Amino acid sequence: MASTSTLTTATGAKRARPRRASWYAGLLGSDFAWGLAFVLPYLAVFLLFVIYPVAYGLWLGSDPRSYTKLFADPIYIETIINTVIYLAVGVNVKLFLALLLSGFFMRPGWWTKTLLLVFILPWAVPAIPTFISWHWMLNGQWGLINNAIWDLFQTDGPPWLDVAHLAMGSVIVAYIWKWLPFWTVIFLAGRMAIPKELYEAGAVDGATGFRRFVHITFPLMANLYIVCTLLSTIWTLGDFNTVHFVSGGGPALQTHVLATLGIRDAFELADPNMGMAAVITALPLLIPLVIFLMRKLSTSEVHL
Amino acid sequence: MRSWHRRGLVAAFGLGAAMALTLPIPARAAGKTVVIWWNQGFYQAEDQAMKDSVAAWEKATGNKVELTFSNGSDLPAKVVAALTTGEVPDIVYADTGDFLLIPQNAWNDKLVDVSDVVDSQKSEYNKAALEAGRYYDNVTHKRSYYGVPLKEQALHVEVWKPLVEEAGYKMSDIPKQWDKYFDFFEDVQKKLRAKGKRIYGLGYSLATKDSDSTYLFNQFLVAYGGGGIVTPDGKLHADDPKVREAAIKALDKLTKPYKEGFVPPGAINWGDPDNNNAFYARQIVMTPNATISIAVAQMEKTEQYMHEIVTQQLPLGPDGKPVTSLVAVKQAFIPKGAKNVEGAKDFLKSFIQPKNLDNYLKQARGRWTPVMPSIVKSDPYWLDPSDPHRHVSVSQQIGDNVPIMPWFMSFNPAYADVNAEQIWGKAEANVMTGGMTPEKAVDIALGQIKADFAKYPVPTE
Repeated sequence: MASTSTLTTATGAKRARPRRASWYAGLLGSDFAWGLAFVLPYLAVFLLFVIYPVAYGLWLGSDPRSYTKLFADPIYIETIINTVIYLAVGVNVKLFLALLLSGFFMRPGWWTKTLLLVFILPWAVPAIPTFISWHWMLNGQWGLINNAIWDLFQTDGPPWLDVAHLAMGSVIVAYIWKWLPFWTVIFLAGRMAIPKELYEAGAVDGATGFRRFVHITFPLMANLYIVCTLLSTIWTLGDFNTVHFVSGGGPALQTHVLATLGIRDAFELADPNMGMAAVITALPLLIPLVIFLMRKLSTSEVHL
Repeated sequence: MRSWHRRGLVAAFGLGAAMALTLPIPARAAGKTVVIWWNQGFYQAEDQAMKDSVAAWEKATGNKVELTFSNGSDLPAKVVAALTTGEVPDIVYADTGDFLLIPQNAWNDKLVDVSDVVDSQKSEYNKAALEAGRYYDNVTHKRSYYGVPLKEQALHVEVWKPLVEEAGYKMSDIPKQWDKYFDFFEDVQKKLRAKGKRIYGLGYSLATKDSDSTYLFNQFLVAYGGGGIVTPDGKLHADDPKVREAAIKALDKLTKPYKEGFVPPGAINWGDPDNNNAFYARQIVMTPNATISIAVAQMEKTEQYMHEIVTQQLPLGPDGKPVTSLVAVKQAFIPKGAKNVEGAKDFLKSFIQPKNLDNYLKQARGRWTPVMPSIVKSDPYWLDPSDPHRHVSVSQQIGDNVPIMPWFMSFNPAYADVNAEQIWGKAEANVMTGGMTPEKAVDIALGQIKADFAKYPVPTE
């Protein structure tokens, strides 16, 4: 009886795959009991704090009437559009800027290192107080910006949070400001992993400046960039803090995203089922993203 | 043998760990402890007064109370979660309970009937309080008491006297009639702006969150004759031309000054504390508010409290008569599933005895008005003319000179949905920033209100 199977790799080569071990990995007697003793608490925690809440949430959102109410809510469609804009603009602008900035921070010199330290600060400080600061800073009447405009020009500044498109723009800018440093550092690490020899060889062939970025850096970082985009999109889909603390979903409920709408429906409308239904409607977007991310992470051809 | 010992030890450890993680906390001793979730007060003395009431009841009965104070903005979410999971306390009091929690949960039979508690002091309560505590239960198909009235609030107006005077007016120049009263502050703004001041005349809350904006619109609706939008039998009268006309006038009166620059643009986003903050910053000359908290918070600043901040009752209505004051009656309730209903009822019966309630409410410095006329009449504190704010607010709410009525959600829980969905706030936004006419915005709002009421068909009694 064959004890191995074969696996075809991306290059077409075949290699032996060991036979799958039994689930208890051949443990017997007291070793098996010890194994169980260590696994059981984890299993209990997993069941209590992962499986149970998720199952309970799905159960709460399983009533079809909740979806009827949700889809009849005029704010819902607006929220879906906001969510798509928030993801598409917020995530992509942020990651593209992070990619460019990571190149800047690759430059040698003590001052770039110092600047990097300062640049990381928005990410390092706690999110909620900083978003509340943004909210106050953008206040149309007594915020820092419009007060300065009044003092300088004796005129009222833009109503940052009082008009829907400006409020959504403010939310996206605050989001990018907060998370740009984190992703810049990730891309910086990615760039640092590219062997210098490649650049040296490229330079011999005339690949310098922008061509070096196009022909060497970007192709080598493409996989990392895609994985980061997927990961960031998944995280941002569940982002509650930015919208809640910067615009509060206002003006006139026009800047809600699914994460904040779910909380509004659950607790402001006192309808947890509808709140859960709002969150569940993100699943058709979330599940393909997670599957795609898993496939990217398990690919046999990893660049970086 | 040794391995058996080890195996037993390991098995016991694993079982113990699993049990510790999965078994619920042992239940409280039945009938001995009352769990109370209470809205945190604005002042430490208010919370202390509640603790004192609890201590007195514990001493008198030998029972125990687990009292938890929660922030007013956090408590409703905590209560909604508790009602959803069934792990409820014995008594809940939330400042927004009458708006958000009690009407729908009474409808869904999730609250305990507290008629025996209310009946113990029924002769003491004012009419509005008694009406406000009665809700329709759609399972038992009867209207009964599901809320125990504790205190009430109503809308009045706070004015900066120095700003009025700086504009060249005296306080006595402020007109008494509804439209002229509010228009006056537009003139004040014009005069102040001419002096280079960045000040707005009207501090209207026009947002789609919290309760100040809801309060403002509905009080204007009542003032213009739309108080019959929902009648005590729970019926909606959205098709009544008088109601539609009142709603249009209210919407126009509130949104026109916003569009003309007499209200801060940020008012479209104001939460409940924001008009207070704008007032303290002297960026608005006046603001309507549902308690006298704006003035009371400045009590330690004697000059401001006694002379600069002026509390005014609502002006006379457009018809020249006193405007019916919409009073929000704040109520405690007992969720179904509470482990000690008898203890909870006994505590509430003790708490609402006029003397006890008076002691408790006084510690809130008059922010809340008693729901029992005898308290106001027997304790000179409430109508003391040496306090420039309290007696103004209280005399507007006790129903002697100014008519009062409870909020519409006591008649039908659908109106709690109307408030929570911010239907009138959206209508305001549609006019202020959406370019809609008040007529169109009102028709859309009334359509949405009809849809909400269709979900709560209260039968004719």
